[in-house]
Amino acid sequence: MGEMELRRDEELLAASGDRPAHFVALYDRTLPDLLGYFVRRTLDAQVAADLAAETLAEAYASRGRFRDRGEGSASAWLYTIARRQFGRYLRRLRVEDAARRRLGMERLQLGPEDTERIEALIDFEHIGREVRDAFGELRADQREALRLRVIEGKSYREIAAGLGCGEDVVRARVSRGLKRLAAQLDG
Amino acid sequence: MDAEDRERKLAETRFAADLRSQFEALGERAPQPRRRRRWVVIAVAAGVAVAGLLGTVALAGAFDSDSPSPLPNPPLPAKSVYPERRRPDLRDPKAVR
Repeated sequence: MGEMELRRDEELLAASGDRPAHFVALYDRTLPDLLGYFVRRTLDAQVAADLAAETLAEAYASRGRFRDRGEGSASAWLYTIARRQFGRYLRRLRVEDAARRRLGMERLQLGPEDTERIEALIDFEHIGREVRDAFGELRADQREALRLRVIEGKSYREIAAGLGCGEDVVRARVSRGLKRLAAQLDG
Repeated sequence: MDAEDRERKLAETRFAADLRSQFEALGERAPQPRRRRRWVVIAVAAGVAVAGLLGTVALAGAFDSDSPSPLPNPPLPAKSVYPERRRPDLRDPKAVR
């Protein structure tokens, strides 16, 4: 089957098991959206590029396991990998490179022009509005802890002394507040 | 800048081109399915040919009438452990009875 005959992403992905050239066609179609997905969540072009590269490498390595279950199944499959990568990044604050290393791929460092183009995908105004809305929906104590820690940059000890509670309590409020904020922005 | 323009600009980044080259290289390194299949077909065909040849040789050996396999010697008659009695000669009148 020629590449031109494969119109759907599902067909390209399924055929790429035997013919890796089809994966390159799928790469061309999916990279911009994937970069947008990551840069809107991380607000960091380099991290977004690393996450996109690792997601695509993992997809390439496991493409033989993809099953075409109709329109949209390729995208759903790819974004399942993307969400898993993003979740790991949030937990470890480090982008994994296991799939790229296994395939012998190099990590790519972004130049200033690339960084600018990827950052152009971020709609800061929209994100600012979303963050304000999500921030307003947090519990008052979590909002206060987050404001002092993230916006004012105070240490946990200083915040605990100011609020008259333990450092562990402040850490828990900041952690829960961040998680809730991330969940609201992701939803 | 609309979404289409942003996508086009992203596709033109050095990052996109370099990552694309890496996937192209992976595709070139991967074994070609046709070549792999061809080797499997050759191996199976060779196996079948050898098995057929061995079978033919075995069958030819079994039905070769020019060189029949020697039959085993018949077993010797069993020898009695009891003393034998001499048989009387009925034609000789002087024979002791």
